[in-house]
Amino acid sequence: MDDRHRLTRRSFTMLGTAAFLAPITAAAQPAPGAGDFIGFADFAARCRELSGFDPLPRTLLTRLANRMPEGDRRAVAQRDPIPEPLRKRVLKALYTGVYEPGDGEDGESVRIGYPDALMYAAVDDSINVPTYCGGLPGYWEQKPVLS
Amino acid sequence: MTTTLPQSPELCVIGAGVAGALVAKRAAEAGMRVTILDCGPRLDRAEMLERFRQAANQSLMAPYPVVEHAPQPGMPRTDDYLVQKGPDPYDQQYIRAVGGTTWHWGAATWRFIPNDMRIKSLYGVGRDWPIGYDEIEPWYYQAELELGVAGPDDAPFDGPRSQPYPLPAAPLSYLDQVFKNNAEQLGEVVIPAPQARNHSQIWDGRPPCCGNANCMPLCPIGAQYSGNMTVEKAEAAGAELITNAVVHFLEVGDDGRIVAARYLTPQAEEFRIEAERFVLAANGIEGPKIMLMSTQDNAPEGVGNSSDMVGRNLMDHPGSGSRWYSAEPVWPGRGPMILSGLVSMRDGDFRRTTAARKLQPSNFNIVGWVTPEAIDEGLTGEALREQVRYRSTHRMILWGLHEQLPDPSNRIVPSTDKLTDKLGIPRPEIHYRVDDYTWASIREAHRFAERLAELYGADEVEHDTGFSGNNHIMGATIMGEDPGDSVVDGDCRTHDHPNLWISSSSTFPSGSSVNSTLTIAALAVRMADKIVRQARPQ
Repeated sequence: MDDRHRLTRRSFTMLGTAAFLAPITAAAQPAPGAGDFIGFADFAARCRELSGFDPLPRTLLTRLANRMPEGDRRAVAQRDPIPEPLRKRVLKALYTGVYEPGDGEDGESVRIGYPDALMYAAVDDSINVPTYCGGLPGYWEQKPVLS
Repeated sequence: MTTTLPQSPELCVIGAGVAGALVAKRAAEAGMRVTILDCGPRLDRAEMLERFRQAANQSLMAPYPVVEHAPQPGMPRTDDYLVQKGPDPYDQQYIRAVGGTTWHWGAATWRFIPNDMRIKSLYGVGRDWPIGYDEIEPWYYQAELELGVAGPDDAPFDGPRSQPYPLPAAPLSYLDQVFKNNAEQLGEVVIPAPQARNHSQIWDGRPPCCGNANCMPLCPIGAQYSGNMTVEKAEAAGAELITNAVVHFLEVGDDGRIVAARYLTPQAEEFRIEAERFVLAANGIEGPKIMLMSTQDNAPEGVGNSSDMVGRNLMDHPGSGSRWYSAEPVWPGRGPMILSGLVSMRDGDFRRTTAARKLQPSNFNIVGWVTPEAIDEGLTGEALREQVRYRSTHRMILWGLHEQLPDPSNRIVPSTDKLTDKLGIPRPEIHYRVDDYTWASIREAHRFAERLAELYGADEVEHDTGFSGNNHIMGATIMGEDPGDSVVDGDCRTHDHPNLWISSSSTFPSGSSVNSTLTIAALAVRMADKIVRQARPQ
């Protein structure tokens, strides 16, 4: 493992609210009207494993689940290896907040999350989500204080 | 049927971007009756912010509505509107709405330096301006007041100044501080970038910047200047604004004066407005297009085009890009997107053979750029998360803006293939090539980036293979003393029509290597002063 992999893992405090999150237990209890299918808990667990984030933002996860075709959703929830194209689509949706339809799937790319996209959580102790205020005027002059 | 409007203002300004708004505001404040026509709608900042946040593709144009009657180049491809005839692409974005393209800019407000305006005399290339820097200097300051510019005191390689910047320079981000230290080790000069943005105080009703990291495509809080702010002031001073009025023709009278402007509504109804004076401030592509479309008995080659120079000499600042990973984190994305500039390559005898350049470190949030790369490499789990974090905080990007010389074969014309927009108006057709004068500068920038990256402890440096557009659309109604080879005189008044002025970077005879907006603004307020003096002689 090179230096780039040796960074300290941080606790995930996206937007600073626990209610925003889907921890292991919460993920097993889908949000009302969302992600309500058999195997959601397995789906969520696989997404946590793939993404490196535990817990995951509940809204992001359920929007992804609801957006995916049934077959793809089941493929993620099962313990079999996930086809590479599907794995990348799932990761891009979770990390960038944009779901891209797969081959043969109708529709265009759609946003399923923005400030809760995991890529922003990966740097949330040092870089703010664009369009949201980063701090007091001139804060950028200093190095960030890392968690 | 064409309907003539009942009002006949003393001044009709075509275009409600910064170039037109400043003329309109100053004329209205002096008591002139002013009407502004803009092809697009008014825009609402909150609506645009929400549209951007919801967009799947958060491009430079994502916040802006699609306006069918006033189409604008898309992103990343511009050829949905611009007809690119090559050989090189002229990829430019602009916004056809009230406020214009300063809705999505970095608020960079650099002055030219005196030698930029004498490159033919000094270096034997390009064209000289018919006016000198001393003539424009007081108007630069007036423009800086209008836009609320923050900048450094007595900075080397900045334009000479008679008065300090209205606002103190923005604090440099940590990334910019590291860049400055490293570049200075190589003997170069880095200064805070002058910017039309508040950083530590309220100015002109604008809040201080809180680092939303989204100057482009939209400042969410209005801390930075945009042209709509001046439009609102012009209206407060009594100017009339007509939106969604797509001007497509200027009528020339027997005496050579412009009599009226004709415009279409979104429903293709035609109106005309008569006025004593006209200022064409409709963008560096759309403005020349209107002039070339206005062929008539009194202007057989189009308005202002007796020299055959309208539409020619199209320029930009072709952009270079180099990237590397710093051994230590630099955290791009904290604060405004551009905060400093390497200015010591702006001028020198090298300009005989090689373009001037300004280099600037990107302080853009790049999380969304590096993440798909890491996923496409097959990373997952903890390794993916850590790579996104590493790349987002360690990647350095150095951009360059490179001067381009005026070349009459680089031009915009109304589509020769009869390609039109929804109103039946020809789309702009672009013929464009970047010559070796500019490419030599881009190669210099690459070589410098490699030396600089070593000081960051970088293992390797990647360079863009081509060049990027910078939306600095210059030259296509070029300024000069000789009516035989230029379109406007030193006052930006057309040689052919005594009551038609052009307020746009399209009048620039040379482009320097710095962003064009402040010079547009300075020429606009200077023009307004001359128009007011003519209309209201003391």
